[in-house]
Amino acid sequence: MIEIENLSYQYPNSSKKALKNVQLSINKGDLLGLVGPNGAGKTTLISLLTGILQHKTGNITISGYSIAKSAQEIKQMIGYIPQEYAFYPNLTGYENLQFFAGVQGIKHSKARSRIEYCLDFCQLKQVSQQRTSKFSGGLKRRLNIAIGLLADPAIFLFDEPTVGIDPQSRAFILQKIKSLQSLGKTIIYTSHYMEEVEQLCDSIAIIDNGELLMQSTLQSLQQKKLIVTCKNKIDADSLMSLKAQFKLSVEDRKIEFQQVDSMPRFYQVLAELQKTQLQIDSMSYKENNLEQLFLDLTSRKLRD
Amino acid sequence: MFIAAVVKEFKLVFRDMHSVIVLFVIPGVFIVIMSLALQDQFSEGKEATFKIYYSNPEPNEYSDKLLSYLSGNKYFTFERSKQTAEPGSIIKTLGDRSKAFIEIPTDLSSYTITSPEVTNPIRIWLSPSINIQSSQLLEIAVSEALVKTRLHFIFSEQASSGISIEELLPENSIQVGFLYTSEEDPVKTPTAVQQNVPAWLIFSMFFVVIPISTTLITEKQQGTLTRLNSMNVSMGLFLAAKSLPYLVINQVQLILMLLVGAYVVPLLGGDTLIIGNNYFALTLLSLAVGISAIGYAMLIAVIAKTTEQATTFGGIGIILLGAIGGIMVPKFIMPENLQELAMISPMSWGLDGFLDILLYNKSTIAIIPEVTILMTFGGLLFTSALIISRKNT
Repeated sequence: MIEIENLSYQYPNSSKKALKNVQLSINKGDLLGLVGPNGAGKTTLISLLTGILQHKTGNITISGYSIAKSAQEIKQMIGYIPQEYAFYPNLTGYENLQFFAGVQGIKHSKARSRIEYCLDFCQLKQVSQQRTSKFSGGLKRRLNIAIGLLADPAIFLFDEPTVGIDPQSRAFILQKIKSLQSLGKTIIYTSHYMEEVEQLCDSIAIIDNGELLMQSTLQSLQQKKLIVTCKNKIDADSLMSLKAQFKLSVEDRKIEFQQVDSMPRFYQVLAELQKTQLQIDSMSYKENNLEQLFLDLTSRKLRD
Repeated sequence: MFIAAVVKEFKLVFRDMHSVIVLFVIPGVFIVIMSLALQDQFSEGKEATFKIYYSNPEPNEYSDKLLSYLSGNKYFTFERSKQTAEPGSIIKTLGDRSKAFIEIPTDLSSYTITSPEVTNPIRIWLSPSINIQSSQLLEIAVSEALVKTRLHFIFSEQASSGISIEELLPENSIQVGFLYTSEEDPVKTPTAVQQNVPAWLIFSMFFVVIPISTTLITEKQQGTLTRLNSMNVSMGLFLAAKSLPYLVINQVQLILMLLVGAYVVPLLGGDTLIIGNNYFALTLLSLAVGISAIGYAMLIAVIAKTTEQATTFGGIGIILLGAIGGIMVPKFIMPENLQELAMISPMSWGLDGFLDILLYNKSTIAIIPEVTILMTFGGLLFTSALIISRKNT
């Protein structure tokens, strides 16, 4: 559905590249969590996907269309929900939807039904005649999403849609995003909140300093690992046969076995361990922690 | 797309009370105040009557005659001061109420043709706050009264000549009339309201810079423009849709300001604005001024980063264009080099056009140069705004 190849971007008047050779692949119906610290390049990537920024290096293909050649067609496929409350505070919720439907060329009769659907989907009907300047943060976020839904796009780009709202509104928005996925929509979701990404997404991409550090399914990231602690320092050469069968890492007295997520697999590890001369002190199971992974990949340094 | 954007812009501007006040209320109030304040500078029969004090320590036939001629002057009223003609006393007498003091000498009759030496002249003491025109007018009035007084006594002494001063200078010797009048549209005098309505109307039309820049900068800051960009909305069409409501608002301003001049100013004691009947020319010129005002506003709106910058620079720009363009100070009293500089201000072209219609009763053809220049100016600025806007987004 979305293929990004060797994508680089440098802002005018900037000496640093905002994106460096990014490769990313998203299938139809996927819900990808795009995470990274502030200034990592998330918004730049989103802006390139929406056609707001135009890239010079690399390629973006969406549903077979290259964005460099068919930006107009691609824009029609995408619903962009920005971080800001990108609507008019002096208009009512309904008037805002009318305006955005109008500028997207949605015909009058269809616009009415789409507005009704969007109000219903985001549960905004009761407040639709109020000026949005009087809306709470949660209502504003919901209207922001409703505007993005108007043209019924196939792809949604959510740029941190839960910033600054209460837990109830956040839960509502996450539930709605999940229900969009169940309707077959492809979604890219950027966030600072790792627990949101864990709760919501199928796959995750971590970006920092303009580089894509990893892309993986959440399932593979969350697989359990077995940690075996020995009484003595381990000679890595003595584990050749184990290394051939399992994904593992060795450090001092510890061996970490990855992807040991079933009992047969666990017994297989035990059987192989018995064949070695290792004196085992203890064994424990540990789940991969996404936040930990994020910090490990992006380093723990505080950002501007 | 276009209609949705036009409707949105109308709603935004009319829901913002500040914009409504800036565009409609303040210009109306300005026109009333300026027309009433300046009506004496333009109108015949509504003279500014300065009170002038005089001292006449020894009244005699000669000084009485001088004062009788002075009292016939329609621009000044004369009142005898009880104070002496000492500088300290004069200052005390003048206070804030009077602008000049005339000291009539005791030996006013000593001057004769055979002995034309002035030993003791009439002295005029002026307050520093008097304007140069009034002081010159007073000097001329005193000179005229003195000449008449002397002639009167010369003729009286030579009774056999049979000539009187009244016969020598009959009242209707000089007649004053204004050009560009007609029976159908009898603009008899260039009244204050006739001068002020076009000037302040043009000034107020340029104040669309405030609502235009406020809405556009808010759209930029809140990410609405970015969102519209992601929705395939053409920036050129969007800015054009944003402009149309303000062009309509400019026309409403024209109608309201003309009505204020024609009906509100007279109610408050001012002159009546005579609109004439060349409505087509008025509309055409108003559209041209509107286009140039919107072009200016768009350029300010895309250059400024914040609404504060836009209102400050936009506002100062309007005041400068107004000052150069003859809105605040009429061009005809400017020095020649400043009058040439006035040509760079679109307000000057607009004002010339409106004065051509409202003051000189000229035809539509006569204002075509002004209309062309204003539209070109507005078009150039709008195009620059569009290029900068595309570059920025």
